[in-house]
Amino acid sequence: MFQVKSLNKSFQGKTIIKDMNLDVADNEILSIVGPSGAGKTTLLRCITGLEKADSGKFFLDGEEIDPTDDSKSVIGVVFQDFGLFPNLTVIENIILAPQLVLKKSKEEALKEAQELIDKLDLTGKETLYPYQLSGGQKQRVAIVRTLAMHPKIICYDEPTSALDPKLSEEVGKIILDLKKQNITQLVVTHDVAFANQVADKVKEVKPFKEEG
Amino acid sequence: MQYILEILPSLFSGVVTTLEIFALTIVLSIPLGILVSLALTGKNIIKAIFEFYVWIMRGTPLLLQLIFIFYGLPIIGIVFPRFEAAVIAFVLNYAAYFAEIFRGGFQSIPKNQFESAKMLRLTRWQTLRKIVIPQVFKIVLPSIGNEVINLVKDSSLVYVIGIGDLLQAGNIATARDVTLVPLILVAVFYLILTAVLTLVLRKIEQRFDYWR
Ligand SMILES: Nc1ncnc2c1ncn2[C@@H]1O[C@H](COP(=O)(O)OP(=O)(O)OP(=O)(O)O)[C@@H](O)[C@H]1O
Ligand SMILES: [Mg+2]
Repeated sequence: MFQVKSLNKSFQGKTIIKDMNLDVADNEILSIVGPSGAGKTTLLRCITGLEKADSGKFFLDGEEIDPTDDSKSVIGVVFQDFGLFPNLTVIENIILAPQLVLKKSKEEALKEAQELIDKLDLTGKETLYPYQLSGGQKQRVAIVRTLAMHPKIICYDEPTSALDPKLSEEVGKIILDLKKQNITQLVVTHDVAFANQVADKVKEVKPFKEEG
Repeated sequence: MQYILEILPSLFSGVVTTLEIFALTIVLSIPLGILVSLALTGKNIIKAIFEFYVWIMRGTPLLLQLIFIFYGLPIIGIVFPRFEAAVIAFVLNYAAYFAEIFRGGFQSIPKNQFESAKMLRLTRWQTLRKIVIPQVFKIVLPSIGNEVINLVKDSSLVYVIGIGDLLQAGNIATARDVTLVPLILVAVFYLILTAVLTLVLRKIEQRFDYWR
């Protein structure tokens, strides 16, 4: 169970998120929809600790967590632009953090990575560099890279914006499949069909309007 | 021909001195430049101090800096031997140029690289070493190459503090024997040095062509 309680966030005095609450059960997929500028990305950035919330609390299974403390973060994210490291191959992108952060041996990291690679249909792409991949392949590499860190929660920002409908559906399947692994997922999307495909729950966010 | 063979040894020993200054400057000023560039992207007082340093180094002639360190500083009791004075002046000067180049390189790394690294819980140092520095290196390589070529030619400035470099060797021979031959040979030596370096730099650039 992941909870956000009375989250507030403003930029230069301009309120973006006001008193937001979220409840997402284990294995649940919450999709976050809303017009451009509503603060969806900002919400994800607060949850992932990339942006410091003005106030508000985050709970995982009833225990308060601090997303900005990355020493024990359990939240993974797949960025809209993937954020792959261009100087590293697919496999290096994936095993970098498991080796350096989780202190896995190279063999162990490689073995785990290979399983994920095969599962997400990236077999044979291991030694390619990101520039040699299609958008959909980059997307899946980004997902594998996040999964390799064993997050409890994964956030996606517009995961289908770079994909055609067929690939969107593929990514949808991957996300649905991850439900079985006890992973809570938050998906920001504009794509209504995609939201319908994956979401257990939909949260609508609207741009906050100052009163008076 | 006989004459050329006669003066070659003194020119060669000049070349050795030139190369010594060149190599020491490169080996010391590039790492120093990287450190300074990191300080330049830092905050407040540290940043201000190093901006001042870069401003002085880039805003005044290298020749003046050389004279200042060798002839000027002894007046206030700071004495360096010739060769050390030359190396100090070159390293300080070139580190400032390299720092500016690296600062530009660091700034051109997309923010998502840092954010991806943060979400994968890489430390600042791991992020720099595995992701940022390799990318910066590739970006700055052509500009570094230009400076390296400049340095070969700039090294002739040590002449003014009485170091027996290539140029001095040639000049002495010309003055003594009243012939243009030594100066032409000096030019040929410089051309060979810069041509070789250009070639080496091109090879290095090609070697880093495996990703985009
Ligand atoms: N770093 C920032 N500094 C100032 N204002 C910001 C910053 N980041 C976002 N904003 C503002 O916050 C508001 C919400 O932005 P956000 O990116 O969260 O919207 P969004 O819902 O993700 O929109 P889109 O659907 O277009 O991606 C916008 O008005 C934006 O200008
Ligand atoms: Mg957005």
